[in-house]
Amino acid sequence: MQRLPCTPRPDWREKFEALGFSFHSDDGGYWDESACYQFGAAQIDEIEAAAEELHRLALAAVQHVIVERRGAELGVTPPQMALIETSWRMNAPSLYGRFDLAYDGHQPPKLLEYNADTPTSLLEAAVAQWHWLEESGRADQFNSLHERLIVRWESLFKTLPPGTPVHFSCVKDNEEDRVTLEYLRDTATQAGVATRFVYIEDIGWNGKALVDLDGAAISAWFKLYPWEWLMRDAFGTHLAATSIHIIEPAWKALLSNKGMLAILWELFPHHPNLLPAYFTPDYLGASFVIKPFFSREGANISIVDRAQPLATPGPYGNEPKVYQARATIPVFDGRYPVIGAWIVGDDAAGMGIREDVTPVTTNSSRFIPHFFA
Amino acid sequence: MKKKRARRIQLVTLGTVILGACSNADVPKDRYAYKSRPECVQDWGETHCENPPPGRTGSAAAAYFLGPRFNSIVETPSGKHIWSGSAEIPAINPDTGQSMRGAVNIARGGFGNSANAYHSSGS
Repeated sequence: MQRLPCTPRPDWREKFEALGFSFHSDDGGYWDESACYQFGAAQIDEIEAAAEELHRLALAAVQHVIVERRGAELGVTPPQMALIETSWRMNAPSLYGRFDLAYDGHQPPKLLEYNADTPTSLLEAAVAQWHWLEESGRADQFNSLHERLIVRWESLFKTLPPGTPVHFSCVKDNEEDRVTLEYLRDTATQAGVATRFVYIEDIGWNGKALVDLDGAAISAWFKLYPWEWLMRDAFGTHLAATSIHIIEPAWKALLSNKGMLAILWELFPHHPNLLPAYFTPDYLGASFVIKPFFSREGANISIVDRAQPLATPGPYGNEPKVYQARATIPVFDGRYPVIGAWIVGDDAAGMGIREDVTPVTTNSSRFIPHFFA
Repeated sequence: MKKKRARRIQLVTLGTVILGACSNADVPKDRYAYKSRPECVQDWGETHCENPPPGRTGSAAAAYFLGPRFNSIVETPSGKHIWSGSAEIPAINPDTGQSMRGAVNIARGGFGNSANAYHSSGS
């Protein structure tokens, strides 16, 4: 694993904008191809295997929390748990997820967190860095996201009546979310799925069903909107009264909850791909990381460390927290890279790299392309 | 290597997206709105139904046919004068006993409020 200097293509902005990747320069430069990461094939195999192993552990942890009725420890209310349990027992299928991993090329990849419900940075990983690879002449890339998403959409909705549309929703006034959603909608369209778009704020309730702006009932729904918000909102109470197919399914609400890091360590102690994590800091010594259960994009993360303390701002400060041992994140040219390893269905599907000048990856951390040889 | 694709990525719709379109911000808030003229005419008759405003082709509003304004007295196709109702309480058709449909007798805004306090729904 190396960080290499690269020469940016003179017209990469125009090319990305033609693709629809419009937020490439947000926050002072989100996409950065002045550098790239090189891996060996064996390292890619190790990341791929770790992602599939963590996916297996995650599913076992969901089963455990449901059977042992441990939702309260994760801040999940009984009505929310009922939705989660119903979706799990119905085998409601998942489309995708992203494991964020600490990896230095030598030690096994370690799970920092699982973005199981509303993972973004998808278009960048699936499309943008692939275009970069093709034009850069580099050898290969761990990236089969695009084709796997299409295949997964085909299997997800083959049981629905022909022509049943899937509604796609995200919040208004967030360009990154809208573009990510439209990319996913594009892959669904290529799978032969009929799609419609409705902003999450525009969804209606007609007394029997959730409906779009035309009043059409939503029977299959992809929402780029976290389950914990969905269940808190005023219409959340209607979800149990409908037979709507929702992607990601409700059981993903458990896996996007960072409290699951403690459950995972309890169930699989000393697993090579896990870091020690607990609901209390008592077992972690003088150096550890504090994460709110529902923190997003690196908000309200605290690193407790005499030599390198850090606390990021954010709105999640009052939530319950999990305490995780510090991972060894390598430093290249003053940057901390974190591997985002993607799962589509049940298979590892590729990766993207975000790097930051601090050990915490936030919404402004840069996306750096990768290749392997 | 098995990870590498054998073909180029094709995107069929993404580059054509116009961000900000398809919002209900364009749906009139002070009157009935319908997706088709026959639906409007069935509720209110020809004289109370207007075609979409000109000059907005391509916008979401261009799809809406406009019925009567709320809180007014309207003569129905059967010649009865009724209160036109409000966004919250749509008028009842005196001949059928059904609510006037439009796009207004649907509660909206019940999702999305949790997002107001945060930066992004993504992670």
